[in-house]
Amino acid sequence: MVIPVMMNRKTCLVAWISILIPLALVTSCKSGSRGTPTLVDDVEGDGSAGIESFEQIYHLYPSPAEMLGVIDMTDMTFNAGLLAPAGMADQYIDTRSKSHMLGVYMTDLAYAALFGRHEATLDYLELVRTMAEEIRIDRAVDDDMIENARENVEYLDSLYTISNEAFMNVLAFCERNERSNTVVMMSAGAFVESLYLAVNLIDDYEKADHLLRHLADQKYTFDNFMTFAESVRSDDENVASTIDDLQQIRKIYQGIRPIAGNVTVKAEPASGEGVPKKLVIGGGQGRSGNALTREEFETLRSAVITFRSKIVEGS
Amino acid sequence: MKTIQHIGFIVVLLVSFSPAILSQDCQNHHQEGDCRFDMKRDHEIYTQSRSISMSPLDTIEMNIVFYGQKDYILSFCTHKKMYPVHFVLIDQQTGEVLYDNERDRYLESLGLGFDVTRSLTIRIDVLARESTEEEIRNNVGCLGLLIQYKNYGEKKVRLQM
Repeated sequence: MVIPVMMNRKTCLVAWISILIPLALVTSCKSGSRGTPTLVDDVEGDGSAGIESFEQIYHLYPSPAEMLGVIDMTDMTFNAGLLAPAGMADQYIDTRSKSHMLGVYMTDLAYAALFGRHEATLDYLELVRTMAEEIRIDRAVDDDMIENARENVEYLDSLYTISNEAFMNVLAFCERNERSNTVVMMSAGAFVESLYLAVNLIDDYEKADHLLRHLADQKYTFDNFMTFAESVRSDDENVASTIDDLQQIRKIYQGIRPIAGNVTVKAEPASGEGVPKKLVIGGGQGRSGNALTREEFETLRSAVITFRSKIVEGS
Repeated sequence: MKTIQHIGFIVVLLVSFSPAILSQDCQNHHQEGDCRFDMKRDHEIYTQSRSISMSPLDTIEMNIVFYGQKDYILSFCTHKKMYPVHFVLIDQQTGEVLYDNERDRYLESLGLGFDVTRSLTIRIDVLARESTEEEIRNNVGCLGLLIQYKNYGEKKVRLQM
């Protein structure tokens, strides 16, 4: 294409705009419509008939608050000694340690919130904000959230929601900015800390049926997380080393047999206006679900404590 | 003045022939789109709720963990040109199809109760019945999946009160 050398200012302006507008549209198409979501591991194109179609698979898992929220804490007492020391936050230097610790602090925030520990909730909320800022995650926790937590001292639900909000803000930021590696490292920290808190709530194997089932149920969460993590392993050596550190825990979860028997689906009709049709999904073993043998529990506890120590020591 | 007319003409021309993007930012569609009408005060929003951009030619699969002893409500929403939403629930362990909303004329909200913890794959595509062939090829819009939950036990508490 020959560009005329002599153009008056008006023609020049029109020419520039006619170049810039299509560029802007193309850019918005890329980021607005088909940006790579963080939790997607598989995007397949089907170019048949010249039309592109995609199949995307998302591997999702619950927040730390949701993982811990399943545990019935009615008869349990808050143990501040289980939480990662708040005073060590400035000792984490590299991105990997900081990302792991962001997950750990988020879980400790959830633990404090679930017990309604107002002061500890605020402390860990501040820690989450600091650590998120250090790895350049904007507005994971903002002033409004801190103020909201201060004003809702006695409302357990609000603290729980704030804890979830911080987790969702971090995920949303990472998805927008295609930082899957950060999500993997943060989630590894969060997952290990939630397991650490759960294994330490068990004093007597024989009397811990509910908690053991909770630990076994994390198999599904762990499977989804590891599938996602493996999909970004090759992109980042910190992700690869995080996955390697999780191998011992992975081995234990791979050994747990899922619930035996057929899945049952029972339909219940909509029970009123605004109430949707409902299906009840049951399993072959009724309410009992998955379980951990004593040996599996001891091995899991040991593996979790080892990796958690490594994270908290920043090694 | 002529310049402004030129610019206006070019903008109209480009917008007319560009592929339709029914929404630019899908991040919160599950809370801002039609799904918001299904929000229940006595339920929590599950953090595995998601909004994504997709075209009527795409298929999305979400592997989601559902904890046992909880009631969930799944709500699907999208742009008006993309309805109905077709979804299938598949047991992740066995691959067995547990439910297909085709049999209920593509209902958009479904309650789920889980006795024990399970992981399901939710396979989603949009049928875009209100769209032309060209729109189906070109349109990209937001698809939101809002998941809300509450404990089985909470019902008992209310009954005792």
